[in-house]
Amino acid sequence: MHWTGRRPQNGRREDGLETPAIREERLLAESRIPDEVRGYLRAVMDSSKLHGAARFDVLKELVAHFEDGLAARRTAEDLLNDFGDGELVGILIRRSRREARWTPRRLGRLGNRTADISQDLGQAIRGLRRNPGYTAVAVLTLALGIGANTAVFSVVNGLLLRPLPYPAAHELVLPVLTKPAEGVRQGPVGYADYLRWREETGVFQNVGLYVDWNLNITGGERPERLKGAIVSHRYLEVMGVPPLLGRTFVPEEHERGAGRAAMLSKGFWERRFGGDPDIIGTSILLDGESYQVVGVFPPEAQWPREAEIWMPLTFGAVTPDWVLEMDARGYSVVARLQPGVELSQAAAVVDQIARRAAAERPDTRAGFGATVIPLRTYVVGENTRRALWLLMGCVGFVLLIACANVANLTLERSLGRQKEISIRAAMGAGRSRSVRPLALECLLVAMLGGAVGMAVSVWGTAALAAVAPAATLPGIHELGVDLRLLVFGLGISLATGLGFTLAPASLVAKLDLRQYLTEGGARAGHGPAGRRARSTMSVIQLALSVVLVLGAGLTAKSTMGLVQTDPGFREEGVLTMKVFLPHYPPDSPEGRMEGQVYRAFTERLKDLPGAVSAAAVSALPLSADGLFDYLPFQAVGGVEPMIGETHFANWNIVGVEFFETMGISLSRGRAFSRDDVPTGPKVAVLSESFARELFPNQNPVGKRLRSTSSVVSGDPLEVVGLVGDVRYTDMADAGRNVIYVPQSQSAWRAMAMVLRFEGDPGERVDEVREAVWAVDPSAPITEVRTMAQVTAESLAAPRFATTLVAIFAALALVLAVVGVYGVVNVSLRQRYHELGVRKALGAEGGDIGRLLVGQGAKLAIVGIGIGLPAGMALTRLLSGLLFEVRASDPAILLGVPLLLGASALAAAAFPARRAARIDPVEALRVE
Amino acid sequence: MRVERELMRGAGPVAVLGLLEQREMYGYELVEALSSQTDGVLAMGRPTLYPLLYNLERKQLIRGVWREAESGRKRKYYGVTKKGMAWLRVQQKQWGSLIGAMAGLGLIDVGSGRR
Repeated sequence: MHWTGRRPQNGRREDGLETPAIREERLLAESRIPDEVRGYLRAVMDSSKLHGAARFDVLKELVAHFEDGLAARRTAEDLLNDFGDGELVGILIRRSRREARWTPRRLGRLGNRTADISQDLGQAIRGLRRNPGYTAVAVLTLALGIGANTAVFSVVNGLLLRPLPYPAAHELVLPVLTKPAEGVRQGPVGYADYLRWREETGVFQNVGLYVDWNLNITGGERPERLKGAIVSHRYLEVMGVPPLLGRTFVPEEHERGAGRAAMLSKGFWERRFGGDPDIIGTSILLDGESYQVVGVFPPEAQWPREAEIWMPLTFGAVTPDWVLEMDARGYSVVARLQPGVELSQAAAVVDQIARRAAAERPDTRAGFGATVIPLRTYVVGENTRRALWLLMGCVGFVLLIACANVANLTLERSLGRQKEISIRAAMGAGRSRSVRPLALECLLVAMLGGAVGMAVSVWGTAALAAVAPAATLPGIHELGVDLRLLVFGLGISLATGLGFTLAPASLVAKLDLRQYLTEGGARAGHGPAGRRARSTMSVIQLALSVVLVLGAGLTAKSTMGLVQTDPGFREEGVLTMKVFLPHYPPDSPEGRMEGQVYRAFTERLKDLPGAVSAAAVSALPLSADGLFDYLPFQAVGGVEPMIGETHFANWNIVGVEFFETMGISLSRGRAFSRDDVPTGPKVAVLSESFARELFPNQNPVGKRLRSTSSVVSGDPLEVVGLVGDVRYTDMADAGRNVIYVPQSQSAWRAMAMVLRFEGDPGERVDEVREAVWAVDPSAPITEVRTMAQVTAESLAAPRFATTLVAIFAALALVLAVVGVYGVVNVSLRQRYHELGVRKALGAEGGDIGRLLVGQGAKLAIVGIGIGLPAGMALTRLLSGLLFEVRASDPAILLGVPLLLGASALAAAAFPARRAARIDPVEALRVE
Repeated sequence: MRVERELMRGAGPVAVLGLLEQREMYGYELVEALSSQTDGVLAMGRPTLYPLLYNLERKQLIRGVWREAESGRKRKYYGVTKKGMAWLRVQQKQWGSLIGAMAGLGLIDVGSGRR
């Protein structure tokens, strides 16, 4: 026997048996009950959703009941009245019979409870499947909220929460010098500071000093530039890990003139030497010198993070005097706190010592203090850290809005289900049992939303990592899923489920069941409480989105400001690269003319077809590594500066055509020329802001200045020209004091080359490399980029942040507007009859439309009224991250409410237009 | 007089089992008996009687069997099972002590009850 699928017209299956439906109809037809009762019983059976023998059994019994009643001379109408709503009877029968399937017989109370819950769960699943529209919208809305949160959290987790890969990483700090008056928050440290911090503080277990020291390694196919560090004695002890292979540096290796020793990073050892265990004791060629490999640095102690090679600091047993000069500050210090010592405590101690030094040497140290920075903060950067937490707040708001939206949807839906809830209550279910299916449904939706949200977050995290500027978010590409992330995802889904369930559930629990039973349920619960709940939810959404849109507006304005800022140079047609000179033996031809090698590069590059000009430079605009940090200067022949009035400027060594190549404007005097020879008078060009500071209200050209630092030679420099200010670290860094000196008079072995082309410089990369290597094939070249790329990279971080905040704000706005639409739309449905009456009584369509738009307007006004002050308070957190925009920017404060208000009105306008076209006749019939 | 829902929830099944213990009955009979023998106090709405019967049947406290009635028509007769008897005894005791307690407090007059 097989079921063919379609029921034959004659009601017989192909095998000749009667179908269940036909059997039922025959039973009804053969009974002695009137047609109205037959119809009623069909409705009961349909709503009972029973099948097979059980269904037929019940029908037979009910038919018998009515037959008995009629036989007892009662009217059909009377009997039907006894039963009441057929649909309700069907549902009651279904529930009384269905429970049999779920209840395990002898599992006791626990079993019953489990059975109850699994029964409710089954019902919840069926309920959701019956309403795919609601389910899809709710799940998607939540998935967006949960996905965005989990994605951002995975970044926060990976960058801020997960411990750095060092043992007891929370104890590691970087003591730094500060100069609050000049906004220096983490300046380099002097050797003398290091010694004092090591000997005098008592808050550190170990203190290590290091200097970033990059060098060339030769011997391979192409020369390579290595990042490395020169480190003090017992440096590895700070990290608290023994070497992976070999040993660490011994005291003799820190002696001046000792044989050169090096330790390699595990990565470099594996990459370059294939992880050869016999590497210890062999020699490698670095900067033309032979170094003996003594050990391999363990990866969990690798600091600086990108370093691949470490060499011992060789001051010898007696530290030379010039190193101890308080203004020789080119070092970094890393330290491990004593257990139990707080950050603030350590900061206070180092600050105290620095202030003492400032008192001893006011000429070079006035205004300096010190603090300690946790290693984590140093790695990620304070601004990035704040930005990430702010972003977390943004997505948190988006989730709240999503919750409010789904809560409104759910409320709508649960009010539509009072019938079912009343039935449960009528059958004696307690309040919690009545609400449970609804709560389970919400929880299911939240879990589904969570699951889809996790998928969204995986995609979102990948997308974030793909577009995030790696320079701002180091480690963004190594984000993994860990327990914390999973717990967060699950927790946020559960919290969401609770969040949007509570409001509707509590409202439904308060429903007056008698009202439902007496009024037939059509309008019960749509009373003031329901309206208030919906409006409240909508107002919350609007208020939250005001905050987000405010934040987005401010960030966008700040970034737009950055983009439009004049960097002080013209980027078009300029190609840049870094070229590192090898250490030439002093008696070689190159060694004798070391200072001239960059000039040779320059000449060679200028010979390329289409090249306009070229120059070397020690510090490239917008990527200021290589700027000789902050040297003190004073005018020669002027009044001796008061103590503490030293003027600091950054030292930039440039080739003859640098200003021309970069398009930096010369505002006075002349640029450098070939006549500025090493033996001639020492000359300098000043940035306008430095000239203004050093020679206020004077023409600086022809004036002389000299550095009070012993780091550069004490010869006075003659100012020959003035150039416009250039942004060196980033676009937000305005008016940095810079003193330019000609490359011919100040040699430096790690410089960048800048080259101006006619046409697109991006296509000339290979030619340019070859031109450099034609002069010296052993010079490593790195970071070949067009100046346009350099600019774009410096703007990448703010652009990225703005894009994210804008996306979240847009999401929030859309959700809030949908919320307003929902509230007004529901209101239209509920007041359909009333609006019809108004129209019948002569109200114009426009009046009725305005009524509903007015409702939207009220929501908007209240929402904005709450959101604006809250936003103004919260966006103050942004102020340190904004460029030339105040958190109380009037244009934004005015524009955002207008945008929100207009959007809310537009959302209300759709239902309002429909309301205006209500047909009064039809509306009156609806009641 | 109607009894409150919560009370009815407890009393309904006891009443039904009590009636069925006296003799087997079918649905309509049971409705009439509940109404007439309790002066309408325990008159149960039809929409709830049948679900209640199915519920008790599921709990194996009663059992329904189709057989011919006096009228010659087939009716589903319900009778109390052994398990139902035991359950009824427990319930009777509980109701007895409850009523006794209420009477002891002078809240109800036991003599006014029927049966």
